[in-house]
Amino acid sequence: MRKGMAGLVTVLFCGALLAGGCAKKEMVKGEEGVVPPVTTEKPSETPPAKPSIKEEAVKEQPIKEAQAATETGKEQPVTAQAATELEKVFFDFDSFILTQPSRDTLSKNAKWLLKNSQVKVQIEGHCDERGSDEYNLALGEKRAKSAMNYLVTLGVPANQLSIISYGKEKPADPGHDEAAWAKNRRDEFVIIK
Amino acid sequence: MKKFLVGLLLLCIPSLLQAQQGYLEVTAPGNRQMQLAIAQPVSLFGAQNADIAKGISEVFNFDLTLAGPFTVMPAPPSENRSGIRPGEFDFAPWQAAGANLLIKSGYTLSADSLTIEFRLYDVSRGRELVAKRYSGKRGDLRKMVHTFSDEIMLAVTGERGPFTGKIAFVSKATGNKEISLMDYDGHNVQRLTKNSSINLDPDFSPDGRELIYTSYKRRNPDLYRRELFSGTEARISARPGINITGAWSPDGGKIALAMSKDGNSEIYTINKAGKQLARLTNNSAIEVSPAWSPDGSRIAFVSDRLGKPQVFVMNTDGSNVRRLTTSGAYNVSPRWSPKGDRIAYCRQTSAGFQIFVINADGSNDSQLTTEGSNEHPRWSPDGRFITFSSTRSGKEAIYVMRSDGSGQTRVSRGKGADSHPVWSPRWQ
Amino acid sequence: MRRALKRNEPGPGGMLVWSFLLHAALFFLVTQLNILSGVQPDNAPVYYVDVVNLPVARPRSGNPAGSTAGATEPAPPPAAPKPQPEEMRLPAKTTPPSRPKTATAAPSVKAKQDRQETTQDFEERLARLQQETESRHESAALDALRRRAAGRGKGQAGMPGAAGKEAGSDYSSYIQSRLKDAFKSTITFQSRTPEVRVRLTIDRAGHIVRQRIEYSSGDRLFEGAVLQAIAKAEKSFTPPPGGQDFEHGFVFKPQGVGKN
Repeated sequence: MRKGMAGLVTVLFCGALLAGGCAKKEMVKGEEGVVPPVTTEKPSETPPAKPSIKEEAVKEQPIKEAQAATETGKEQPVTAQAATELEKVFFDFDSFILTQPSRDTLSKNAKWLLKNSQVKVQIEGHCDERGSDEYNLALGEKRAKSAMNYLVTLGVPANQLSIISYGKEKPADPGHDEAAWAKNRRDEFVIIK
Repeated sequence: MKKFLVGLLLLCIPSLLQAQQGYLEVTAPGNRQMQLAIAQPVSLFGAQNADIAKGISEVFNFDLTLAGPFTVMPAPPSENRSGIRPGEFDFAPWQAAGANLLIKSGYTLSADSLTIEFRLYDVSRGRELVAKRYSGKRGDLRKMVHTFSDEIMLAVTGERGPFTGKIAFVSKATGNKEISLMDYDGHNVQRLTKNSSINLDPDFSPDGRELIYTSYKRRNPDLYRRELFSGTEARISARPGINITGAWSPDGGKIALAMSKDGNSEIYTINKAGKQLARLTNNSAIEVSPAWSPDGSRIAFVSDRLGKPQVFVMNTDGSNVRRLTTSGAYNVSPRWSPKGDRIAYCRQTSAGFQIFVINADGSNDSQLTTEGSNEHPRWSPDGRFITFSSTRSGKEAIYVMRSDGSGQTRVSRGKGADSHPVWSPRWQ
Repeated sequence: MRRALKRNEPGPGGMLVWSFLLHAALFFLVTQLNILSGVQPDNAPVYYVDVVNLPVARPRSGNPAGSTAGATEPAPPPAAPKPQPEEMRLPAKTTPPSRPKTATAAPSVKAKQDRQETTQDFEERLARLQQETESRHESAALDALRRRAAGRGKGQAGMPGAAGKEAGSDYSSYIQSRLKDAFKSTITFQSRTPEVRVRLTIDRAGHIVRQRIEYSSGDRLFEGAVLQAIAKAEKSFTPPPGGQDFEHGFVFKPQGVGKN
């Protein structure tokens, strides 16, 4: 019995050895198939003289300077003028919600607007410098829009109002502290014709 | 008998293992930089010109030091024979100096026309890897060297370098934010817009021939498309409210942007003529800054739908929205890497904005910058570098770093604040 | 099958015969296998002198072309006691390697000079330097060998932290250690788990006549480092033992990468 086992086991081992050997060969072969390109590299032919080198004319693609004449500021159609009668409205950080003082200010502004119904006003939304400029453009617009919506609920005709966001591009105070930031988180009212 | 069997087993196992391995393992610790030597450029015809020689060496030095895989060797050894072609010089002094790679340059200057021949050698194997000759004007010197730097990257890393690329950016040199263009290393600045209003968020078309940007020049933040070489310009989106953060799709067919025409800022796509509007997001929160995955199947964007701005990812039809960034209270400006595996973005921290990179699946969120406030990360077309703007040296300036955060180098030289860099695609 | 064997269970004598036959068969198979698997001298050497980890003045200049190297080298170490598994093989086949470096230094030097005449001065300077380190290697190596031959069979000597199966004092592990040495000064990669498998054929003069990349993970930078390492290491190769060509596969990896 034991010897029988021995025979069995030995035979198994032999099989295993053979299998191991075979497996290895197949494996290597397979990989050879997979990677043909890099074999023993040919020494790259050294171009002896000019002709064999790839000529590459370096031709700068002309990049035109801006056609300044055609676009300088003249396209700005509206002459903006700060409405001194209309007070600014201020906001908390990263917020477009109107505070109570803001609503009081807007009520005063609404009265003036209703009195001067021929005047068209653009509400400019501004942010402090801390946010990202893209996000602040969207936030500034929300600030302008919340002021406009409040004015409309107070009876100001919507066609008297428009909005624009400047994000953090036009700070009222160039400082870098909370006092400056608080002044910059604002809506301004600009009379346009 | 049993002992015998066990013994047999023990004897067979090692040879079994060995047979399956078949390879001897060769390992080494660390990840070294290759020692790169730049031979003194020589004149192939006519008198030597110190300016040309110095210019060549300097541009190579800047490009290849920034590249990452190389240490540029400070002083070239002296040579008995200093030809640039194979057989015209000896490898021995370079081998002795420990160089792995060697750049040989020869130039010919006649009047205003300049020809430079570059050759890259593998010093260890004594073999030429790539050789090119470029002809142009004397003023093309930097471009010629950048072009060969790109070739070197191709030969050594398998991926062409981005050094011939340009960076478009927003410059405040005139006091107004205008779009400008410069070589990636800050040379040859050209101003593109001169409208004295506010110009923002430039982005290149995939072929590098057109640029979109947002301008206030008609008193509303509208999206413009401009052909770089002709200067021709078209206003492609002037819908009421903002038309900002335009991002060109990888196939060039679409532009994703944020608009507020329907009430508040949402992500839309339009074609390059500004038509075929499609709305991708729809809620009461702010959505801005779309960024395409390189396969064009997904868009990362910023939304504050959970209270504070965070980066989200959605399919290009607006479905399957999921949040990408989970740490940090304020994450903006996502940009997908050209390989698609990572997303660079910008986080507001207690120490200003910092650039982070996160895997596209949300794992492995890591901070790359610490000094000053750093914004607007954009990848180079090969994904090896990230350009960004930083306030670390005072006013905002354009910087370049490797995508692991190493090698942070200022490239813009202007005195005005420079921001919003975008690295151009390769120019075919 | 078990039952059949049981029925025919032979006596003690038969058992012996059985055993002998099986052993013979196994022995035959193993040796046959060895032949089939090509020219590798052997597979499982146990005794190993680690050239790599011994002090080297400048790893970069791994270049043994000492013109008098052969003369001053100590005698080849006694043939290593045969490791256990090799009892299953033809003993005659596995004995020769001893230290091929010492045995065959002279022809290699000659070949070397033929190939690199232009750099003779440099080579000579290197050679002197190399010779010093080389002799240090040798004595250290001999010491290690003696210690091991005297004492424990599978000791800790050899590469620290290595499993012991790393290599042996045969030609393939000699080449392996040369490659490791050169690889240290060239390794660079840009992917997470780069791997390159190369099959090298070395002719009887010790020159690489063929190198075939059988697999690459695709990291071009790493491939360059491997090829540079091979080129550097080749300068220090000595001819294979027995005047035969030598062929073996080597897998290059960064240390500590891909092990877990």
